[in-house]
Amino acid sequence: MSAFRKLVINCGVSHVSFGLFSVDSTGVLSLEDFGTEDLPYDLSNEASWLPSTLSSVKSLAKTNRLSGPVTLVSSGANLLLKSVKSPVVGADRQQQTITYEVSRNLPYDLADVVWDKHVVKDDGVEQELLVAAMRVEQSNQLASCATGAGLFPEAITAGPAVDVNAVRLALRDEPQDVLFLNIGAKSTTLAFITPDDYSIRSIQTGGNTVTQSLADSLARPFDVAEKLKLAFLSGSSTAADAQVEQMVTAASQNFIRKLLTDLTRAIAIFRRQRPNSQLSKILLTGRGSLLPGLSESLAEKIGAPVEYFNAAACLKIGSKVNQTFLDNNFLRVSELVGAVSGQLLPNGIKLNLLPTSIVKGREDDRRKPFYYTAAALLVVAGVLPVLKTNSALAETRKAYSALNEKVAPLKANHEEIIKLTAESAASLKKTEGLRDLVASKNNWPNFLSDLQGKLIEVGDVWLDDLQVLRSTPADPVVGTEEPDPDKDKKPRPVYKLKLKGTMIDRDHPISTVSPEIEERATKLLESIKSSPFIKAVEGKKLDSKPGLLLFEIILEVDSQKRL
Amino acid sequence: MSFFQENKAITGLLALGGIVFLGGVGWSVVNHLSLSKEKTKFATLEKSYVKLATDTKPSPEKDNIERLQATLAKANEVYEKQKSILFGDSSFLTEGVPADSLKSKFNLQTFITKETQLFTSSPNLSLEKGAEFFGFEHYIAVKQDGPSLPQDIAKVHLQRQVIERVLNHLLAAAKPDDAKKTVQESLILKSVRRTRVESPEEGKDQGGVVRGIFNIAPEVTARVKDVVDTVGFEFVFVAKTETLRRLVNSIVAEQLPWVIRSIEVKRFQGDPGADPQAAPTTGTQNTPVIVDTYSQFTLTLEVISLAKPAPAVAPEAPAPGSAPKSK
Repeated sequence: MSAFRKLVINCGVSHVSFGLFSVDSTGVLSLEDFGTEDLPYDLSNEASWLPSTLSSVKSLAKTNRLSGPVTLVSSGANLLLKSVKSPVVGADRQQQTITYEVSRNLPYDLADVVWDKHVVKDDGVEQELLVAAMRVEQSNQLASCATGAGLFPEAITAGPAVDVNAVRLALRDEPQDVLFLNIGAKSTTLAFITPDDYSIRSIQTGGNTVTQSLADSLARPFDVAEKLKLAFLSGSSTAADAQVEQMVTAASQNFIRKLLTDLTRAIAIFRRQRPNSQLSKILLTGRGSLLPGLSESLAEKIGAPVEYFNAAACLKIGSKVNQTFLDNNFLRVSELVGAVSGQLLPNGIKLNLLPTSIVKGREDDRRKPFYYTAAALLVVAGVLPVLKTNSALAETRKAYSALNEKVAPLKANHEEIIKLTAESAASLKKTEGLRDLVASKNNWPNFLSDLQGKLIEVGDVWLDDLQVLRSTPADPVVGTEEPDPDKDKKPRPVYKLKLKGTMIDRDHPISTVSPEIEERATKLLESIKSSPFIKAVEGKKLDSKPGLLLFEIILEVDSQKRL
Repeated sequence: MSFFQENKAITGLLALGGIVFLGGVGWSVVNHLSLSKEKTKFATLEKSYVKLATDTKPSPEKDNIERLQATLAKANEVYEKQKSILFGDSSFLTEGVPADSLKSKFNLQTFITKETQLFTSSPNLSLEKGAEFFGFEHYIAVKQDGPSLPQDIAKVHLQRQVIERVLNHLLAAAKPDDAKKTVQESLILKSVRRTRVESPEEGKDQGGVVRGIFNIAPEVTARVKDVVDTVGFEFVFVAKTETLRRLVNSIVAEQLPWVIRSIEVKRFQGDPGADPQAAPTTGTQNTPVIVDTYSQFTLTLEVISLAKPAPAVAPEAPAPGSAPKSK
């Protein structure tokens, strides 16, 4: 498949034609598809041209499934072509100088036109430029014909200028000086083409001049006169139209005379500028060139052979192209070939009158997807990690919540256990603290009662001394030393009781120790020993006097029943 | 640049994309930090869970809570029972507290006058020097006024109430049981002492001798740190054993929060009073009569109360270089 593929649509005054071109692997330009339609409007009504052109472009695009970028070719009637000379200055200021020269030579404000230039000649001192200009409004309208048909205009080129490309492509094997005439409906292009340069003039006269003259002569509407003219030129007019034929012939002769006058003047200028140039032939194209007697008049007047220019002859014709249809319309091919060959020929004319806004819009449109993608990528790059981390965070929090649901009751139980343990410990401590007190509260009364009972049981005995001996550190001296009331872990003291008493022996008042009193003493001792408060008898000492037994007993008190 | 100026939608989208990107980056960083925190929290919780589930003793289960609740309830029940045994109705001890120092002193003087009258109402009753102020020498003979601080006034009031109550029991106990005996038995009140209320100077006379104040020995006191507070009293008197028995019984019978902590008996070597029958006979008579024997009794008694919880005080930091306190 060819990498070079170009669609060109020529928007003429009276017709629209398209050509789909490619370049094959050998470098030969190939016409892959071709079509043309006459514009169905009153040619005298200029306002109808645009809608009619749009309609035809749409029709062609739909019928032939045209799409993508397209190069539009504007007819000379919509253009202003000027030859401008500009001094050669530094490269950095060349464009500025050219702009200045163009603004001087164009009858419009540069802001109102789209213009482009092609360097025809450059001798190092001065440049000869071909400047093509088109009103911005017209350029936009032409572009809208393509966009309206779903095509994308990438360039609007000047038909009269690109004809030069077509001629050069056709004559590339035998370079020669030729005069090229493209006679359109409203304008005629005169181009002197040499292998080194070219000179183009556009004359605002064409086939419509003949039609208008006929309409005036017949006093008929323009479109009717156009139909009559075309019928005559195609040879389909009847004998009844003899008057019309006479009038068409007369109008044609007038047109040819005027054209020859203009042509003679142009050739004179051309020859003055290029004195060494030799015109080898005249090439004709455009439907206006079919006027009867034109070629003969040209050959006679200018003295050079005249040929009809078939730009398709130098092309390879694709299988899709109907050769007969192409042959019938070969006069509408030169602009198409010229537009595409500008990119193939060295120093080919590549004028672009597409408004800057559209060009820029196209560039912008090409960049937009990139920026949209960039914006989308930024959003995605920003959002994706958030989503990922959010998800991870949510999962962790969920796992935490799930675990917390297990831990919370355990924690609560644990805290409750700690609290209860502390409360129990505090309560037990208090209970423990009170236990001895409760147990010992009535120890003294009970002990005294028990002791007194035992004394009474034995009888005739009384206590002289009762003293508690505590084995803990010495008692503080009263009033001189403060006790340590905070001594909470005092060792359990060992209590001993020292009892001293006297037993009376009433039956033996003069005896020191009678068996009876000894028996009573033993009985008392055993009785005291059996007291629940006494753990052991640690020592006893007996002394006697007549009728009396003195005793001293050391008793160890049961630590569980402290006194 | 003009492209961006002319294509405001794209510029806006790019700006939005940039903001979203930067916001996303910021958000992601914040999320990462949060995630790190959450993971740490989770790891801590997991550790806590493992510890609670496997290492905690007792394990945090309802059974253990119920067991501890039962233990606590039982301990509280025992405690309440103990309190009911130890602390009867003691409201009178704290009722009628004088409003100020002057009234407190007046009350003490009134009390001393009344008790002195009682102990001088019979020839068989006597007050020895050292007992004539019934433990309140400090406020009568040394200090010009009563206790100063309200809490001290209350403490002195309690001490006066207790001493008065014990002395009343003692006087009652000294009366004979036997209806045939009409004569009051001999009773010598040798001293009454109480624990100190105010400063360490309390009770010291001009010669530095402490009167009416005593410190109960640690091994005697019923005090238990943080559980039981006590106020101690010591009564020294000469009487018959029977008087002691009756006194002790009457003290026990009265359900007051007091506890007899010690009784010591010494042989009395003198003439306690007017009753010649009451004279000790040991060593001099061949047929001594035990009921008529007099002894000197030292009765130590403590009024108990539940200790108020000590206010939480932050421990002071030890001074640099100071040696730690030995326990």
